[in-house]
Amino acid sequence: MPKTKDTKQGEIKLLKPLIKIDPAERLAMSQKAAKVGTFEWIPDTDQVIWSAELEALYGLKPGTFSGRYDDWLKYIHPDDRKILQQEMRSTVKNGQPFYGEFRVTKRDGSTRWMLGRGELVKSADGKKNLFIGANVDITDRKLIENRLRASEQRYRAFIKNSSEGIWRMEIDKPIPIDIDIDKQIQLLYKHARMAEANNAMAKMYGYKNAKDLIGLKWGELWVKDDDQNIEFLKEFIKAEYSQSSAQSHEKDSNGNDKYFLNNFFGIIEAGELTRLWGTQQDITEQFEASEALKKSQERLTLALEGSKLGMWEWDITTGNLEWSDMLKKIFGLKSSDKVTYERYLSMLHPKDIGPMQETIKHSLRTGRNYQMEHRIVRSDGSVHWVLGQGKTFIQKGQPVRMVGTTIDIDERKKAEQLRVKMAGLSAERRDLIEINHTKDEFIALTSHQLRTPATGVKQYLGLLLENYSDPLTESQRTFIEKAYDNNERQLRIVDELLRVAQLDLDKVRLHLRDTDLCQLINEEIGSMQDKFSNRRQKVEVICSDKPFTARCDREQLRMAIDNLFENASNYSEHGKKITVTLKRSKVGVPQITIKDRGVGIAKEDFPKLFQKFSRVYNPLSDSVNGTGLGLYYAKKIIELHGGTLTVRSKVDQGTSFIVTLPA
Amino acid sequence: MAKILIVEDEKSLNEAYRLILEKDGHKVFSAYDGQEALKKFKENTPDLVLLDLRMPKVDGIEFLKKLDHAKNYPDVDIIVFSNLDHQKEIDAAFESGASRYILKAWSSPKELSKVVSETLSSKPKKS
Repeated sequence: MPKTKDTKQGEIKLLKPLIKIDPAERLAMSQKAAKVGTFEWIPDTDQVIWSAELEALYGLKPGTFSGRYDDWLKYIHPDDRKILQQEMRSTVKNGQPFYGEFRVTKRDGSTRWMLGRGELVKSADGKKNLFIGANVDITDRKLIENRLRASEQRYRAFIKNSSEGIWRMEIDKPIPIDIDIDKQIQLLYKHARMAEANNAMAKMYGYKNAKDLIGLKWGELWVKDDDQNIEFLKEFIKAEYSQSSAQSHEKDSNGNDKYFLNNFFGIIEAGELTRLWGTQQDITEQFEASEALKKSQERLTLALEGSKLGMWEWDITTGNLEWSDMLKKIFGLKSSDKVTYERYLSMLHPKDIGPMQETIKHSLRTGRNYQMEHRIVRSDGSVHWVLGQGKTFIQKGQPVRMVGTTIDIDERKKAEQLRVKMAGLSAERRDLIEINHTKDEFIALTSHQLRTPATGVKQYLGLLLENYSDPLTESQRTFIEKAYDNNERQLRIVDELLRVAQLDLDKVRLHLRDTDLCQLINEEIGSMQDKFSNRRQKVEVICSDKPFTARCDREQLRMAIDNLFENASNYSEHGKKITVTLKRSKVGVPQITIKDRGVGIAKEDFPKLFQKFSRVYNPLSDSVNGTGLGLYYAKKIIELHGGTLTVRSKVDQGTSFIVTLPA
Repeated sequence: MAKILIVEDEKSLNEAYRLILEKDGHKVFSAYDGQEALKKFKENTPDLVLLDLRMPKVDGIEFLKKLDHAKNYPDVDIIVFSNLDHQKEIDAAFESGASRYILKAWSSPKELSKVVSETLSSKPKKS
């Protein structure tokens, strides 16, 4: 079998031998040193000649290779065999040089990586082909390469799967690190470009894929003039191009604001910044949430102030009621004032107490929230509209706590009422409303001015009657008493005028309390005893229950009933009995009947009975001594309570006034 | 017997009150507006003031405020004697230190004398 060394003799000759060695031996030695084995293959006959070194590379003893192409192929790793065969055949066919890496299974079973090279040489007549080539053992290189690749793959996988954004930026035009900081920042924005990024990074900017980010300039990602960004970059430069846990404000592909937490550093080469590496986390949600929280807290504080929102909390088990200062302010109280449930109720408008109690009871029973617009009366008597809201907390079927808010809606409510009122009114009526307000002021002043001189008269006549001066004769005393009585009447008229005027202007507010009517009637009779005695009239009181309780404004109701007694007395002859009956009516409401046995009222006088300044003929009266306002006032007050005042009368048989109050 | 300051701009009423209270043995001095009342009050602190509300220069409520009654003179009784009967004035008077509020149209000389002596006797005795 011809040996390789013979065929390659010509080439070797080109080298000038340094020492005298046989050229064939020299070739073998250099092949061995380089771990290169050579071969010749005649494709037509599939004959192969291997050099001794090639045999050694394949784990064969010198001279033991069979010289057959098929046997050669047997040493090739099965996975590489087919492709190697194809490529070698293709070299034979096209005459292009062969180059390939493949594995060889050595005789001892170990695997080595080979780099194969070869080319086709034609015989002088061009009829025969010779494939000449060499194999080099590249196993060591291949191992290192594989290890590198594995490490690279692990690195890639890490970056790819990281939820942090990981990136590299290259600077088109490296930035000298000795120039002005502001200038450096400008250049960074302009010349740093995204060179590498992972998908997590791309998503942070609203892109699907990392490659969409590649090539974008720093200045296109960051909000350039954000003060905090600039501060952050200054810090980065000052800290020798390194920054950690710093927040940046940037924009995503849709122009939305984004906030990131960054770690990054720059690479300096020859006094210039050339490259940046970094990682970042998206903290937009946290940032916006904390911003929103900050804003909503500010807004709440402002809203509480601005909306005049008061808050309360009621511990039902202890009865402790806590009010915020704003709530006390709404109710016209001082911060130091203590509030109880009873006090709260007493500050409500009389007409709203009942409904509110019902509403609260309902909420306590059912745990439902409630909301109710209602009025409150401040200690100065002014009425304010508020919106009350509450919620009951129930534990084990028992209400334990109630919390709520109260908003001052007075301005809105009054404006609304006025608008509704005004909308339906002619200009003339609107003027009347104006006049009514002026009237109120006028009446208050007038009553004061009318009282003052009468007070003087009263004092001086009083001084005479009460013997502060010289003793009076009998007739002097009688005259002065008449003058005194007339003056008293004038004062009474002023009072009643004022009361009626206030009633007409809706200025009267009832302070409703549970009251024993039986006691109230008896007290009233007591205070009028002089009058009844003078006329020798006996007053009988029949009370179905004692106490006889009804909800009313004690003072106002007393004045109303006073007028009914005055009437009963004035329209009854001397010595006639007056009967007052207190009982529950058929429908269960409190009823007071004041029955006299006097002159009665003619049918035709009925309609004008309750009119202002009306006078009903009284055959018993020698002078006009009423004010003409008493019955009008009584009816109005009773109706304000939600009750009724009716009359039954027959001429010469007597009159009955019947008062009913709500249950 | 007590020192009483009558503050009333209506001259005839001021004199009538003086007559009634002097007869009861009190030492009485008069002022005809709030400003004069302040001056007299400070010159010689009374035991009791009979105070009208509607007056020229300084009115009754202002008088009480300038005096800072509750702080400086808690022992001096203030009886408001006025013909104003709006709740607003009544509340203001009590807030500023009045202990009674009487509608003067409904008070005869006898009643005035009674109110004053009642007020004076209800006062805790100074030790």
